[in-house]
Amino acid sequence: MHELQDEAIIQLVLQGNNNAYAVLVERYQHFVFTLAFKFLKTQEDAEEAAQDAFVKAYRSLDKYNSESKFSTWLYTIARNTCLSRLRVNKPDIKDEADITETVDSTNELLDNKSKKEVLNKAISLLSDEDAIVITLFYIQEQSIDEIVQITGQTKSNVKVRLYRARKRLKEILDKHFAKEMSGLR
Amino acid sequence: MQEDIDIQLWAYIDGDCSPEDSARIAHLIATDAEWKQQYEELIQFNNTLATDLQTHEAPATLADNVMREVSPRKRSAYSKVLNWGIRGVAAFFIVAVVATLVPLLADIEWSSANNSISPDWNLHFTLPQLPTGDYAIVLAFAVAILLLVAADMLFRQRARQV
Repeated sequence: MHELQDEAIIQLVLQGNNNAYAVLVERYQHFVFTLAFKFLKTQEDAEEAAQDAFVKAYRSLDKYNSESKFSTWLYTIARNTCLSRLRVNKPDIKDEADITETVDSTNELLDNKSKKEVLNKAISLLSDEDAIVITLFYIQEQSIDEIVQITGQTKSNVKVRLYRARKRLKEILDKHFAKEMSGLR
Repeated sequence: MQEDIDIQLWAYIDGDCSPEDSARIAHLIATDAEWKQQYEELIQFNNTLATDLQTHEAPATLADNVMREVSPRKRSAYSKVLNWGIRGVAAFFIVAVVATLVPLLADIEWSSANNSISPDWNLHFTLPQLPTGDYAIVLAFAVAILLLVAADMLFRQRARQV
């Protein structure tokens, strides 16, 4: 069953083969968790939000149409779930645009010098919105059109955000992690 | 100027420009040293992001928790018990109300019904004797327990639906 396409698995689930849903959960759990972690910042909150997103997706599976990729649809649910949680935890947040506080200190020392960890560290220094666009584009391999669908922003906004996020990320890497990156190249 | 070159190069790298623009940028990369150097820098950065960004490992419990939550067998068994419990309590109350009202109505003397000109609105009937003593206490206790059980079942079901 693991080699089946998402759409075929969804049909199995809709026909009553509930266990088939486990394949989709297994396939996307790390991606959904990563996205939730970018929004919510803690392991516990991200796990709960990811779980919620999968359960909501399961309960709405009959509403999914294959015009978009299942992953795009799932990430849209995950993003909305995370935004709802953020609004509950921080009632002053009205839109994703308000979630801009930058986390972590640039002075934090890097104990581990692996390239992947350096990159993830640098991404954690971006604003939440920039980090999410970078995550969706590079880790979740969503196209610009799919990011438009997930985030509800216009295409030109997504393009500008992606451009600025990459520029900012490059600046952070050059400024704070030049030694680590040059040593790893 | 530099930013303009970057914007065009990123569009070229992302495959997000027209065929004409794509051909023009490819020509500039091939012929202009500044464009070539910037392109190589950006494409290396893009490849780094594409290959070295990693997902966070989801907790091992996540998939199990999701599947437990969406398991129809567990949910329907629980719902069945809840539904039958609520139906049982409802049936008890309906039977109790009917059992009380039927003898009560049967005992009414509908004497005013014979007077068609000036009805006597003072109905003449006597209430049947309500249960008293130990029997009444046990009945009241059973009713209270059943009400609490019904309320508990309803609240649990609503909580699960939320």
